[in-house]
Amino acid sequence: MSTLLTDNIGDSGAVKTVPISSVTENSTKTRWLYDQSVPSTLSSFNLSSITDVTTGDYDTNYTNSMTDSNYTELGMWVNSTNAGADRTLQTQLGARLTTGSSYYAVANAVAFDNITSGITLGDLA
Amino acid sequence: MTEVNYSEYKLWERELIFKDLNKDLPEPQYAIVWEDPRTPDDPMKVTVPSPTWLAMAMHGGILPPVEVYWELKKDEAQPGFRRHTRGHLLHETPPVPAMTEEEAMEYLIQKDIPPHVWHGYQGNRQIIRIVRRDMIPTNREYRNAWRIKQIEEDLV
Repeated sequence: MSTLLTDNIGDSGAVKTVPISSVTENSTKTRWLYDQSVPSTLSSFNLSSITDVTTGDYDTNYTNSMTDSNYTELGMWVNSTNAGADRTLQTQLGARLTTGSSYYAVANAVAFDNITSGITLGDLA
Repeated sequence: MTEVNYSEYKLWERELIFKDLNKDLPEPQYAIVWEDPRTPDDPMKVTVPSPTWLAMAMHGGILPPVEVYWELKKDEAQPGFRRHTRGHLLHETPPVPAMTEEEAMEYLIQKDIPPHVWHGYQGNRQIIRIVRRDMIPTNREYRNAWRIKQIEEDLV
């Protein structure tokens, strides 16, 4: 594998350029698509395992730890059984460690054992 | 095609390379079912590896020894921890050789499940088991009441 060494990338006229760090530091460091009803990881990056904790709750575990716990996470539940008017998109972040984090279904929502996905942004250890 | 020497790359880079060379990875055969003795009223938990991680473990030469993760967890448990300063251990420690799927599940227990579950527990219940995934109930209606059955022949 070869490595392209550069400080900035930009368009051909060099009108718009950004430092390479804006690409490397702001790219997704972890992602997952998880079907809790099986349970099964349908697609992932930097994810060693997912723990099905209870209905609607699960923990992620990373292969490459994050450097600190001040990372950004985005998660989403998709209640496929109630697609349409009752579609549910609710999740809540619990404990967050450099090795992984916990997700909880929001109370009073229904039938959470469905597809969920998430991404992590931040610095890898 | 020459074999990739994964140890030349950082851990996260190894997964990128591995995924590029290995598509349509099979689902794992096994799952880990476990109960946390510190929260005995909670239902049984089910930990399943990602297909990519499992394939990397079985390929060998990619994942660091599990002790590296223990070291990082020790650092994170220190009062006043702000960020890892020994992350290089993930990338520079010589990777472990190929594992069987069973060995990979044992590695995963030591990496992703709290140590008080798999080490030093002295109660009478069986609180952790590696089981075939097809032994996990597909009907989740009573998911919040799942427990590990305490019968040798019928573990879930």
